[in-house]
Amino acid sequence: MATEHSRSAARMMMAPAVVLLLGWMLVPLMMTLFFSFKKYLPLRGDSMANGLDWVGFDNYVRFIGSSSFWPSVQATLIIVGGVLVITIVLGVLLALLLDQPMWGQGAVRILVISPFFVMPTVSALVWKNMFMDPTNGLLAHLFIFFGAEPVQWLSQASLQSIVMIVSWQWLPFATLILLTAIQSLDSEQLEASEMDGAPKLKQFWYIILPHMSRAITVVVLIQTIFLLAVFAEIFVTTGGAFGTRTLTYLIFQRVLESQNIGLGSAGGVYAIVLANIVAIFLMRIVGKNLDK
Amino acid sequence: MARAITNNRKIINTSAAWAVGLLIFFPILWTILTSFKSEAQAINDPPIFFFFDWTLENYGVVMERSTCASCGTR
Amino acid sequence: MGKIVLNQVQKKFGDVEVIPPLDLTIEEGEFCVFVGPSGCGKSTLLRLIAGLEDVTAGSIQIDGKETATLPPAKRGLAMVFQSYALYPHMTVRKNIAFPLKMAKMDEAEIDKRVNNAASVLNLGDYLDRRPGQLSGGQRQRVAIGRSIVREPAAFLFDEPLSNLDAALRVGMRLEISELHKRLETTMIYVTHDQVEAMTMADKIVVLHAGVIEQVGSPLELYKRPRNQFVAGFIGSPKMNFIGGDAAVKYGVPTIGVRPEHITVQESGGDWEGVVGVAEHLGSDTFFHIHDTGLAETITVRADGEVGFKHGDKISLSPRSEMIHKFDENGLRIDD
Repeated sequence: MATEHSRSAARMMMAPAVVLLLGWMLVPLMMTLFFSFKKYLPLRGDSMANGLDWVGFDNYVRFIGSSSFWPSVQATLIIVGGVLVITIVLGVLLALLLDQPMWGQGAVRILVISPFFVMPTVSALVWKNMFMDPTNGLLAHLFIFFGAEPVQWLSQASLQSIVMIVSWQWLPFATLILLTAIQSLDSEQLEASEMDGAPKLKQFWYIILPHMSRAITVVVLIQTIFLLAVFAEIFVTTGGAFGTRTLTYLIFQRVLESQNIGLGSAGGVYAIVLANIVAIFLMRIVGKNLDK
Repeated sequence: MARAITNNRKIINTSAAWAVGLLIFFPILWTILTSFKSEAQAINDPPIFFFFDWTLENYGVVMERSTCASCGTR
Repeated sequence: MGKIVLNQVQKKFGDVEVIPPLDLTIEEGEFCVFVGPSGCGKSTLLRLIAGLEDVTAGSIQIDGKETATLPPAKRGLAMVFQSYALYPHMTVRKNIAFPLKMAKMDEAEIDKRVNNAASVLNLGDYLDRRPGQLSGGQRQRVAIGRSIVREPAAFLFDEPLSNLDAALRVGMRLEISELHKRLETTMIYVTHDQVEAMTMADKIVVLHAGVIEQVGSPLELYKRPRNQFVAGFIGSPKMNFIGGDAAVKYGVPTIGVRPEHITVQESGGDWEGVVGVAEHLGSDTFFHIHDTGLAETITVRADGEVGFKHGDKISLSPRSEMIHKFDENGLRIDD
């Protein structure tokens, strides 16, 4: 029972955490908003000390008007969408497989989960140098072995390659969540559907998949949030070339390579808006699913 | 009460799951194997899987180059 | 429709024989109850009939057709599960229609049958709700609805009432009995509750450790239990078993007397004892009597008006024509 007294004590104790978190979120957000309305080119002598020129929505117009803006949005959506489709389809299949009785179940699960523990930078390096390298990569050797021409993965199929690397990293997460969902399915429901004359495929479609729908939406939501911010994989492999410049990467280039902080900040605000649109959209789907 | 399944079924499940598991784990395994190869053997054509001269030289190099190699000696 | 014959049916899990070979015939239209303590193999037997477990050996014939190797859906049986096993993401209507949809029946026929089942079970108002929005009893009805639309040769019930509260259980018990009277379809019903077995069954099959101890009508089982296990399991409170000198007087190692076949008085009876606990139910009173020298406690069922209390000295007389006699193997001895 919370009395008036204990409630105010609780507030007091929570206050430092709340203030710290708010500061953590709000200060960078405010700074981004502030800079996005300013002309801030440190290499041309702009600095906070001299005061920055207010340029209104110039940065916003320039960012969206740049020829690389729409391609970057497209690249972002392709990566996010591609990885989601691959991880969820394969994740469902893998979860079904791992749910079957077998020998060494625990060990197999660890093998499947292992990519999740590799740092994005490391995994990108491994894939780039040891698998996708056109001369020394294992995939090249494999192609030559079968008498095919090795693919220049990162230049000829750059987006696909990045989708593949990121999918490899996120497949364990999807599998793990979906596996727990399958395991929570009441076996009597499957038996009932068996008595009702549903063959395996229809059992999957009418019983197992709807049961997993909530877990799938959770996976979609969480992965989307992280995938919108994919950076290391692109930085390490293509450096944003060959059509792999995502919105995140474009902002990075504006700020650090072109040293245009104002323009980059405007891009950041666009990214926030995009992420929120996606999030609201997804939350609605999740909300609908949670109602059931 | 789980339904009893046949051993054949279990063998198929096991081999399929292990095949997929090892495939997913392979990049990590390959990284670990390569870490024990010399520079020349790492880019050997065709690639060598197990029968190379196992060496710890790469680990030594990492320790030397990292700033912490001198931690103990200072 | 609905005669089920089991012939030398056996089930092993690995090396463990759960059900030794057994024979059983369930007649057309019969309400047959499998009863026994938990772990006695009654659910396994039901699942063998349903096809959810494969028999190790033996044959199961339904209406003269061999079905032991057929998949569950091909046996023409419907099952109501302990957890109801409703599909939570489907409405009641879709739940009930699911088996028909799987059988690729046409929409109009499905609608007709679903509406018919709904009116039989008073589910008309709930057809568009999901199982999560229903009470336990309503869910139970949906599960029954899902099985009756298929017009099966027989219904299988796996402890369907154990998730309901006591009052609802009595109500559903009546509903299922009435349903059976109306449909006149064979029903096989698994329970560990001997009251359910006694009240609902045409035929009771008492199982113990996978073995059929006795098959018979409820009153047959009550009046002439074949052995000590059945005698102890059927009837509530349990039958009193008495060995020693009191039994020797009747010329057997063990005698059994049901609590309702013992009369109590202040003195002058056959046996003497002290009242331990007296449970007053109003209509009846149960006395648990100690220090009789016969068994640890003797339970007696007396009229509600009898007013003995804890610690009272009491005198008991069994009705001699109601005494059951058992030999050293626990089998019944008939006079």
